[in-house]
Amino acid sequence: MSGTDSAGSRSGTDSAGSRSSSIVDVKDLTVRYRRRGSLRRNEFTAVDGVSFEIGAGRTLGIAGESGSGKSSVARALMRVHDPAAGSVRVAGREVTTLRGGALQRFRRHMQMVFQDPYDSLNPRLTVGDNVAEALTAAGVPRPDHVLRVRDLFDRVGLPAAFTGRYPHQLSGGQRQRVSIARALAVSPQVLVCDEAVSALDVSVRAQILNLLKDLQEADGLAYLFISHDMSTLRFIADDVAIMYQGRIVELGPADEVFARPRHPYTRALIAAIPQPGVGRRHRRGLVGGEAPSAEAVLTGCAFAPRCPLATEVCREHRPLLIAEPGGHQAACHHADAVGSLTVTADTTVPHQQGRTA
Amino acid sequence: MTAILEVDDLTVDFTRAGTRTAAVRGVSLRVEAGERVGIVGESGSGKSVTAQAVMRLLPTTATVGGSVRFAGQDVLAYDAAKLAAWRGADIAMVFQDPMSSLNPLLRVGTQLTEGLRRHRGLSKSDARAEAARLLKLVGIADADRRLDDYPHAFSGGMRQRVCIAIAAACTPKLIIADEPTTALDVTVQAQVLDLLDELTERYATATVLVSHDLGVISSFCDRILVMYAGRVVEAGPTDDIVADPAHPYTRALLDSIPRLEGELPRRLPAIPGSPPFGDVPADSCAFADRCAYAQPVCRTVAPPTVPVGPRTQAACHFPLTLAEEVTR
Ligand SMILES: Nc1ncnc2c1ncn2[C@@H]1O[C@H](COP(=O)(O)OP(=O)(O)O)[C@@H](O)[C@H]1O
Ligand code: SF4
Ligand code: SF4
Ligand SMILES: [Mg+2]
Repeated sequence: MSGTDSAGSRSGTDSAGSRSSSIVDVKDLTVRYRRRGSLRRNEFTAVDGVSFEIGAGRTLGIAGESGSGKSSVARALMRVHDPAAGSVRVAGREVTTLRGGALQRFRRHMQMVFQDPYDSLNPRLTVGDNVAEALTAAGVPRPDHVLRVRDLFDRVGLPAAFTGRYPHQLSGGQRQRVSIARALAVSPQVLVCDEAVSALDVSVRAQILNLLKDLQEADGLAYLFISHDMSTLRFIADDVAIMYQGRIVELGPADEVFARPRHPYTRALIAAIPQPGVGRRHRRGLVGGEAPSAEAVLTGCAFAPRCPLATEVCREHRPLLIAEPGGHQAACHHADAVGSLTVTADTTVPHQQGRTA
Repeated sequence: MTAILEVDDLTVDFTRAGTRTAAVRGVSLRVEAGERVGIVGESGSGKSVTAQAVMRLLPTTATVGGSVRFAGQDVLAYDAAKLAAWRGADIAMVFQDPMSSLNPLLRVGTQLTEGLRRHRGLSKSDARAEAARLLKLVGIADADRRLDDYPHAFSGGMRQRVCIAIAAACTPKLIIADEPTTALDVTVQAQVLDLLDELTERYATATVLVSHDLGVISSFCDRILVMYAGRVVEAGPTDDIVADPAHPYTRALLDSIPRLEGELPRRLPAIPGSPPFGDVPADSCAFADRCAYAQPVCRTVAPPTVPVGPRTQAACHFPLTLAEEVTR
C-alpha cells in the first residue's frame, strides 16, 4: 500500500523546483511485480524510487531500453497497476489512494496512447463509435455525440467521412490519430504516450509529432512521452528523464541533456541513434551488452558492467541522483568525465566489451 | 568484377479475388561482393516483396517478371533442390521478427549445426565447435552452454543475433536483412549493425539492408535505393544522396527525421498524406499528390529514370539537383 503523504525525499535528490505549477508531481514512486510462478511474497522492483514533475502544457520525455521501467511508471500513474510506494499528485490531488467513483473521475484527467492502436481500439466498432464510447464514459449526452466525434476527428486531422470505417481499414498513422481523438474525448489535462510513434514510418511519425505539438499549444495539455528514440524526444520534450534498471539516472531540461549529457548511458543512447549525413560506419557500438534483466540484483552502479568509465568505486557504491545548480540531475560517480567520451572510429568499444572473451 | 546479385526490371503482381495489383513495378539493382546496399521507403513501397522475390519466398498468388541472377545464374529458373542448396549456402535472409525464422521447438545449437553439417559437410563435433564460435562472434556470452538453450530463453536482441549467426553459419555471399533492427532497442540495433559490418569485413559478405528508416540505412550502406510505390525513385552512393538528394521524396524523407544536432524547427517537415494504396495510374508520378514540386506534367507523364549527378539516378521530371544548378 502506498503512503498517503510523501515523507520527503530520502535519496537526497530533492531539487529546488517549485511544486505549485506542476500538473503531475511524482515522488519516490516504486512499483513491484510478483515474480512469475511464485505464490508467496517474492517480488521484484521494476520502478525504484522515481521522482519527477510535469508542468502544465509541458512535455517530459522518458527514455531507456526495454525493461527499464518506463511503461511501469506510466501504468502506475494511470493506476492500471497500483504502485507499491510513493506519491502521485495530479492537479494537486493524491491519486494513489483513489477508489471507486473518485478513481473513475480521476481517469478523465489523464489518458493514455499506446504504441499499437490495435490494442486499444475495438476492432468490431467503427472508429467513430470507438470515439463515441469514450464520450459516453465521460457522460456526454448521446444526441451530442455525432457533432463531438466530428469535431474530434477534425482536431486530429481525419476527414469526417472516416468515422464509418473500421480500424483495419485505416493505415497505422490514421489509427494512431483515432486513438488520440479517443483520448481527447474526455478533455484530459495529461496525456501519457507510451511509444506512441515508435511503430510508425518516419514520415508518418513526423505528422503525429506535429499533431501532438499543435494539440498541446491549443489546449495546454501536459505529456508524459515515453520513447526509446532520443531524436524523437529532442523534438517533442521540454525535459528528459533517462531510466536504467528502474531508476532515473539522468533528468534535466532537454537542451541541457542533449548538449551536455552527464551519464554515460545517456551518451550511449544518443550515440546509438543513426543519423543521416553524420558519416557512416564503425561509430556505433558505444556500449556493449544488453540491460540486465529487471530482476537482476546488483551492488554498486547498475550500469557498471557496460560502462566505459566504470571504476572500483562504481562497483561498490551506488551513485545517488545529484542535482547541479541548474536542476540537471545525474546519478554517476564520474559525471564530469562523460563529456570526454568521444565517438570516433578509433575509440569504438567493441560490442563484446565487459564480457569474458 | 561480376556482380553477386543482378536484378533486372523485376515486377511482382499479386492476384487476390480475381484482381491483380502491382507491388513491384520494374526494380533493377546490382550488388557486388562485399557491398552494403540499402533499400529504403515507407511501408507498402515494395521493399519486402522485392527481397522476398529475390529469395524466391513469395506465395503462389504472386506473379514475378524480369530477371534475378545470382553469380550469373538465373534464380527464377531454380528447381526446389537447387533452391534448398542455394538458401543457406550462398544466400541467407534475416527478418524483423527473429521468431519467424527460428524453430521454437529446437535448441539453438541444433538449428545452427544443421546448416553447418548440410552445407559445409562438417562432422557433428566440428559443427558444434563452429556453432559455439559463431555464437561468440555475435556477442553471446557463455556460448558453449547456450547452444543447448531453446529460442525462448533468449531476449529479443539475443534472438536476432542468433538469427544472424545462423545466417552467417555458412558464410553466404549475400545476406538480405529485412528490417532486422526495427523491433530492437537502439543500443542493440547499433550492435546488430556492427555485427553485420564485421561479417562484411571478415568474409566479404555482401548485405542488402531493407528499412523504412533512412537514418539506419545511411549509417550502414555504401549505396542506397529509395523505393516509392513499387519503383526505385532514386539510387546512388549514400554520401551523394544524403548530401544532395535529387528526388523530392528522398529530400522529404531526410527532412522528416528529427535531428540530434542544430536548430530544431517548431514543426517537423512531414510528408503530407500517405503512400498510395494498391495500384497507381501508369501515366503519372506516383508521388504527385504529396509532392511540393508537382507540375501538371507530373500527372500525365510517368517520369523516366535519368542521371541526376555523376553517380546517381532519379525518376523525377524536376530533379532538385538540376534545379539548383540552373538557379546558381
Ligand atoms: N502476400 C501478399 N499478398 C497480396 N499483397 C501483398 C502481399 N505481400 C505484400 N503485398 C502488397 O505489396 C505491396 C508492397 O508491400 P511490401 O513489399 O511488404 O512493402 P514494404 O516492405 O516496402 O513495406 C503492398 O501493397 C502490400 O500490401
Ligand atoms: S557510476 Fe560509474 S559505472 Fe555508473 S555510470 Fe557512472 S561511471 Fe559508469
Ligand atoms: S515527377 Fe513531379 S510529382 Fe513526381 S517527384 Fe518529380 S516533381 Fe514531384
Ligand atoms: Mg517491409
